[in-house]
Amino acid sequence: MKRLLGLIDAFGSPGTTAHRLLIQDGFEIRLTPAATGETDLLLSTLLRERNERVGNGSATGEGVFDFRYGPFTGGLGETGLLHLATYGEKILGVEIDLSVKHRGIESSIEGLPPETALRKAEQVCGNFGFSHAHSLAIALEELLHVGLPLRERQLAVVALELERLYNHLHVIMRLAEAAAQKVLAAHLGALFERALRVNRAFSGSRYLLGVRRIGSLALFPQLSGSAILEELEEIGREFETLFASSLSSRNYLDRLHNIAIVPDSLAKTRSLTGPSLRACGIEDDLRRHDPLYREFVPVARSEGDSLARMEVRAEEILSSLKIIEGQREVLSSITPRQGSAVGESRHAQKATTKSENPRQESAAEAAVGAVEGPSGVIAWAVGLDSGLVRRAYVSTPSLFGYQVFAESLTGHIFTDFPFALDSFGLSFADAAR
Amino acid sequence: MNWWPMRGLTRRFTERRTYVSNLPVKPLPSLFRRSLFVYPIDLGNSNALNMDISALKTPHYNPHRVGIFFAATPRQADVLLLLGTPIAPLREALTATLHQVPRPFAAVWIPEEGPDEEGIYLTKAVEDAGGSLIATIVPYRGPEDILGVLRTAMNGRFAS
Repeated sequence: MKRLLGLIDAFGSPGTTAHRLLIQDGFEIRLTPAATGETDLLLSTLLRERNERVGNGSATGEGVFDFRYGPFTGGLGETGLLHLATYGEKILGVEIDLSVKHRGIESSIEGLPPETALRKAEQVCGNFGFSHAHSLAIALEELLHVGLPLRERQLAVVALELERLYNHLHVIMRLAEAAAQKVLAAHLGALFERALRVNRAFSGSRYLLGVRRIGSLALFPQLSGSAILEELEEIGREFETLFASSLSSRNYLDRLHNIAIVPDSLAKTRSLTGPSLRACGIEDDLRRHDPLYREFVPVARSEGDSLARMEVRAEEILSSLKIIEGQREVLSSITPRQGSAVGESRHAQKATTKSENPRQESAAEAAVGAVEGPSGVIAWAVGLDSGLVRRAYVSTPSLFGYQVFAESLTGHIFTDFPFALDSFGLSFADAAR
Repeated sequence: MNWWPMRGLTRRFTERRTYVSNLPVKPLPSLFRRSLFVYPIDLGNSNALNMDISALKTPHYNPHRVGIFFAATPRQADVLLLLGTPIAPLREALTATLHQVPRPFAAVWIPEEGPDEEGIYLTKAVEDAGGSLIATIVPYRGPEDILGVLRTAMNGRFAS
């Protein structure tokens, strides 16, 4: 990930160190010294190298045709469009058309007040919604000189890990379904639904939407913190039993082993992040730089195949539960509260003209916020003008993930398709924005 | 060693509740009283609604016990679940898909951000293809709302 780009100019003034990065059309971003140097370069790479074409080119040859898969196909679980070059069984090339799900969210954020921008950011990808809102909020808070109190930062850690938990459960459930492990898939499905209900019990929203605000969190817990912790402990025990049992199924493991192998060199050059990167043996994780993640050790494997990606996610489930347990004291302090985060967010969306709560802006033109989302790093770059968003730009993990998926799928047969795709945990909504 | 059939049965995952909707729902023809094949279509939602469709298939809801099944293709569907506010790049594909569904068919719309003028476009698109938009789920709280609308439509009770 450490790549020096010609566009980075380092300049300094007395007492500060900053990097300036030109993204596009004169939208300048100054990365502040809040993050380490390694993170600065990572974010620079992710924001600069976000490209719009995903795929490894279409193959030609005798009998080779374009198998158009999508947009409304049941196998993907989401609207998406892939062009698979094949002569019948083997996949020779993959091109992914993201335009079918492009909603123009970044441009729709321009001119909005910060609180409304957060609600829009959640819509980039609902199942990464809290990560998106948290990442954008970090950048906006920096520009507005607003701090997030310690208690809220701890609760944000809990929310991030809850989001990671249900996303990982969903990925492993999808892999079990694809492998016709119906009993395992049913039990994992039950845990997935329980995790979504824990989200609602914690925040008032199944997908933790409408929760992140500027300088605060809007939680509407429906259960006490101790009840939530009890339920999470039960989910952890159940999952450990299921996971251990699944590893004894040779049929299941055989469907994942050696599928869509990603060499670490490919992962590095394509700026892959998240569990898929850690499955290649590279232990990069933004959470290592966060002091609230005490003694955090990233989970990693080295094989880089679908099985490794599944194992990383499984262990991250258990790791997330431990991290949430580590915030027991702050969680125990929450008590049930009437209302709905989502309901409040709709109210915030109606405020589309002036900022409802004008705050002093930073002299910086723009700021960057980044979090380690369930499938990788989510980085938002944003600039403000007179209290409204002037420009917003997001780098999502799915964009880089789909590129790696396309390259790693080439050479496999069609039956390997779901095991390759689902193991990356990607979303067309996240990639297309 | 776990004997999985007993483990699942003793867990009692499936909720013991009746799913009924208080929203205005047009009843389905009696042909669909006992079983219904549903096909979800992502019209450009944030993926949260797609995840809720996955959740709907889990043992907590167990839609099979109330006669609701998920079709593999639109050609096998009785009801389409239209998820999200339709975006322009998908309109052509949506029109083509709607014309593939055998008649009679129905559609249930779940807009992600609240109904707006897209509802008029969707109603017309569904009717032009020979179907009927029987319900719009607003506000949407979770999969229980989808089950409630479908069960209400199947039972033929018109709730206002």
